[in-house]
Amino acid sequence: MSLVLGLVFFTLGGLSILAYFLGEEWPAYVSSNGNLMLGLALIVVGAIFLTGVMRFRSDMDGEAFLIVGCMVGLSISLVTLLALLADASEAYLLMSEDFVDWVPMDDFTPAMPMMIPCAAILWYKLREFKTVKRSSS
Amino acid sequence: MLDIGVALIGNPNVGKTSLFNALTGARQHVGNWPGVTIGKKTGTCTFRRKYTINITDLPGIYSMSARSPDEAVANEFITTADIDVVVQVIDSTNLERNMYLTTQLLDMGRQVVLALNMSDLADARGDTLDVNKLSDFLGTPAVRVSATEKRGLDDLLSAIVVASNREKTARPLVNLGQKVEPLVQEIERDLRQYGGITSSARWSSLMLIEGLIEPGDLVKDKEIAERIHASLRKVDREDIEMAIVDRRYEKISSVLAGIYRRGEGKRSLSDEIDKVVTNKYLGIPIFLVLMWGIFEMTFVVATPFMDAIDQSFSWLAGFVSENMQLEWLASLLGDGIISGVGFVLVFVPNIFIMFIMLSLLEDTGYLARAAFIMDRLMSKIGLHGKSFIPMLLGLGCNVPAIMATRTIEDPKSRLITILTSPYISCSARLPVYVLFAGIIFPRDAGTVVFVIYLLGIAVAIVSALALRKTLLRGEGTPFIMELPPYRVPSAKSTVIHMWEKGSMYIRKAGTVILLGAVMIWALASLPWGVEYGAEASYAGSLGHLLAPLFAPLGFDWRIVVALVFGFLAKEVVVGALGVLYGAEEGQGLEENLQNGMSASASLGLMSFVLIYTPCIATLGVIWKETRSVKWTAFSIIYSLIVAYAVAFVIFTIGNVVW
Repeated sequence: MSLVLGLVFFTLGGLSILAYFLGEEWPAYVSSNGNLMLGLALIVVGAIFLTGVMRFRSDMDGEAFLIVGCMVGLSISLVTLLALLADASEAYLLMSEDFVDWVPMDDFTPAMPMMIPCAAILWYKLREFKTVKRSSS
Repeated sequence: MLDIGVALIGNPNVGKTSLFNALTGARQHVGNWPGVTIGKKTGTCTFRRKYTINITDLPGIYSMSARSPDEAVANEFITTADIDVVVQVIDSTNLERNMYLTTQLLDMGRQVVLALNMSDLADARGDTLDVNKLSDFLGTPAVRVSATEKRGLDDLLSAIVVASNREKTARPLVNLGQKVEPLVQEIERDLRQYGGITSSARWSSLMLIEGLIEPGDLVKDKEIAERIHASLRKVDREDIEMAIVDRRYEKISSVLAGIYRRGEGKRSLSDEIDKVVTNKYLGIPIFLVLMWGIFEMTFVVATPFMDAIDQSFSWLAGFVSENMQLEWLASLLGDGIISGVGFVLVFVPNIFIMFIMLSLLEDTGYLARAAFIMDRLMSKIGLHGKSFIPMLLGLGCNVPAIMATRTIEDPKSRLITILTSPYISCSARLPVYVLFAGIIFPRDAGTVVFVIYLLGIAVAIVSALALRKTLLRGEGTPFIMELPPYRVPSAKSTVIHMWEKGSMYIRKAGTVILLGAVMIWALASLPWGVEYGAEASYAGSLGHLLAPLFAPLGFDWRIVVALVFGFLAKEVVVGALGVLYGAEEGQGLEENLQNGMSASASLGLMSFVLIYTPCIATLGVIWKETRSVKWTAFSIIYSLIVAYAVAFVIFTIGNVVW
């Protein structure tokens, strides 16, 4: 699981950075709009997961990296989702001139759907911790 | 009503202020990291309609051997103040370390009541403690409480009332052994003979042995003072100090041996998270990602709210201008107050979103980790992670940040932190970044704001390094910091924290910013008959006088006027820009700024606002904390020079790049 998530986040981050430097007009759902900092953030999340993979192999703390990777990944996904919602309110509530042609896909980045696996794993892992705590008390 | 004086004391981050708030109904700031309380706070509660209990909350201390200014506050209060009961708040998950202070308080002859806080966390870990036996062994009442859940408060108040009626005598818990006890008793005899001391003779003799006070300072009788000196010269004091510490911990272990059992070391989520966020290689990148997330949210998510407020004020300004009969009054209200103050209030959503995010990080306990991971970097410049906490506080306002340096023991490290904290960008400067980043770099605005904040940290670190290598040479002290467990922040406390910090911005809008806007409007309108905001106005004259100095940075006269008024408060910069740039006919502020400022000049301006002379309130607190006109003047001049140099470099390089 850590390996898959690590590779996906790494790839998404790489694409975003590539789009920034190449200036290609790729759709946002591939390039995250060429956002350099978002790309770097995704790579950091990927690095957390991949470090976890190495730790799992040597039987050390791998789970901790999986949990924190999911937490940071989920935070980034939420930031991008809130950015989309903010632009949606500019377009549909405030009717701002700058957002006349705006459609949700303009802001849809691949980091957003990543919140689903991250949230699911986090929910599962945190439940495990609660169970351990209950059985210990 | 009977009055009872109570002091709340305890180790850092054990929940003293939470208990203070729970007992008194106050709303003092609490945080999940050590060193939140830096001065004493007082409050009152009534119990059984019979007792008025006056409570003083003190900064956290590990022992009565004070080293830093905030510890000295607690030490002096406990030693000299007229209080009936000392309530020691104890972290139930860390009894041994907390009880070291208990042994000292009992030596002092104070009536002590132990408030065993965080008992819910200890229960969850599976700890067991026989509280009655603990009370019996110590000869002092112990009560289980949970400050956050307001449990056990009545029991605690009952124990305080009972303790206040007991006789005040030293009931030393620890026999300090053959090596120390005879010396203590010898000095105690001398002190009793002298008779003029205020605290217990045993505690005073221990302070003399540990070198916390000199015989001449305590005893005015020269003969007795010399006798005490002679007794102290006979022994190796370092050796004695170590023996005292050992004996205290041995006693604590023997007291707890039969009555306390720590829960088995089950996996803790806090420990698991810490393995990653304090990781040598991943710690700083994770910190940077989180900070970037905060600034992205601060800019992007706030934008629709900003636009809504902006539209409201634009409508209001137009309405006033069209409907006011008196031309000058319409101009004062429309061009001065609404354009100036209104333009500052547009940024309220940014400020509140940033503070809600920072409050979340603080309440979860992550900020303590941030200080821990930054310690590696800080130690390289002769400071330590403790210096990073005031810097993080500076993200809100530099005034409390500078006051928080009282937790730093070493005077030189403290002075360096005081002088460099203003480079951490406070919320007052955020509107300038949001304004220019939004207009000049709309696609990467959040990232630009984030980079400016990083620049502030970089300037602080480089300045600290320069001061350490030149004017304030010295060695850094070792950094010991306890990492509190992560907690899920409550929505209520997060909103309260956000409001505490954010409301200051709104309050300023009605005071100093309003004053600044009216002053700038007056300068832009006078002498009488001149066109508003014209170059012939007083504002224009002032701007043109100073403009040649700032021409190498690409700033025009209106920017210069705004920067001059920024000395009052940094928020005034944006208000002044609203008044001066908004005055041009036919175009809005955004268009005027877009036409008047290049990308490189905008970046230079943002960095200049970040670094240049701290506002008046910050200068006041620098003077108060350093008590030095020389260092306050140094802060002004050094900041101006660095700001000018950085802005010049950015403007010059930017002109080549763009």
